[in-house]
Amino acid sequence: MNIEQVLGHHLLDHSFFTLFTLPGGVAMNLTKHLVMIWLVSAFSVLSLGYAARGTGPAARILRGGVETLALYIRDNIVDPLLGHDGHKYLHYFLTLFFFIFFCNLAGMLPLDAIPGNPGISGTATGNVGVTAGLALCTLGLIVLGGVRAQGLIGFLKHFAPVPAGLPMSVIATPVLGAVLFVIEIVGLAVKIFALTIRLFANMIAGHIVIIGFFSLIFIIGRSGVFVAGPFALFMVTFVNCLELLVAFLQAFIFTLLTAVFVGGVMQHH
Amino acid sequence: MDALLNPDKGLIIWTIMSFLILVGLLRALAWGPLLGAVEAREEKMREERERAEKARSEAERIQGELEARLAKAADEAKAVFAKVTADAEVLRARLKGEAEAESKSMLDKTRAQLDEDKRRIVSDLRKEVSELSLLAAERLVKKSVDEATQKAVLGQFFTELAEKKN
Repeated sequence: MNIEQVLGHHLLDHSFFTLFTLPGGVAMNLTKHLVMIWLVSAFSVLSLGYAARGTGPAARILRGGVETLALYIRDNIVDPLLGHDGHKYLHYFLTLFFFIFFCNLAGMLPLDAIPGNPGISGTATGNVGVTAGLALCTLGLIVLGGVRAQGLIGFLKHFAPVPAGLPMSVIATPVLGAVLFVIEIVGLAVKIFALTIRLFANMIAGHIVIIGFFSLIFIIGRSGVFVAGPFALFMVTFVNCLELLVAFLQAFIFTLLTAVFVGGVMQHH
Repeated sequence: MDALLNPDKGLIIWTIMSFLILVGLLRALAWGPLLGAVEAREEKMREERERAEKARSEAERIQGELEARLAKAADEAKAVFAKVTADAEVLRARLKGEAEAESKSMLDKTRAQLDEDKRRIVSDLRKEVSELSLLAAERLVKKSVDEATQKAVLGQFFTELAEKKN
């Protein structure tokens, strides 16, 4: 049994076919993670739409839960960090949280076990391309929010926060401004990169640990001793519970950090 | 394992497009109605709280007014009572004075009447006694004396009697 193959099968994306190719040679493939994104999106629209507009008792219960989370994000993340303009972007943060949360949870469903499934399963947020896409959306929101709140000039000034009243300000201000501008741009890139890696690594780490524990059964079993099963089962159950927590936590952290970054460029200094 | 860390450009673009479409869809289908209902409810609660606060302050104002009015009424009642008491005192004093004056005048009148009666009775008695004495003297001396002399003699007699008495 090749562990690398198992890992590759469970963790890596798999392309079914190329839908079309963009100018510049970028192939727009239909992959299993893309299908998962679309399934999660459809589920989000259906379930959250039902929660918002449904009239039955089930819809009321669902609405209660969604409302609690939505109000928590509004009152504890968006309002304090983005100020009074925050409500304009509230729907973005709510979508971001629920999309990541549902993607994380969907990755824990054993869809592979459904007969006839052509390989549609996996954690889309455990794909660095998906998390990079989400982080680039955050970058877009940082630029959009900053320009809308402070204007283009104000937004660019934000990247060179030179204090007034420096000694020899004729020389010091432009030099310091240029240095700070480079540092701030690099800082922004690092923020986006960190967002990408944090979500990706957190989501994939649990899967790798689970595969590792399962592999123990076969590695130890090869020597003719069948004792690793119960231990592996216990540990996998434990890590799965941990992954449920991480699924919620990482969705929350991604949303919170996006709000922190966007709030940072929207506030006047 | 290189594939794990190399992002697929196509997937990045797909993710961005899919996610932005999802943002738009959920804004229209879920967050709009949900947040609209929440905000309407919060607005209603805020209005109700304001209304309740207004009603409470109104009730407090009315209570204060009533208390002030009650205190004023109590003061007025006290003033009326005091005035009535003073009037009654004045009236009592006046009536007492009048009654005393009346009883005094009645006493004086009665006393004068009694004096008058006494004087009259004494005079009548004198006259009667003089007549009886005269009759007795007449009988004794068996000698008639004219009436004018009788009166003069008797008058002198009684005058002397009175002087002696005094």
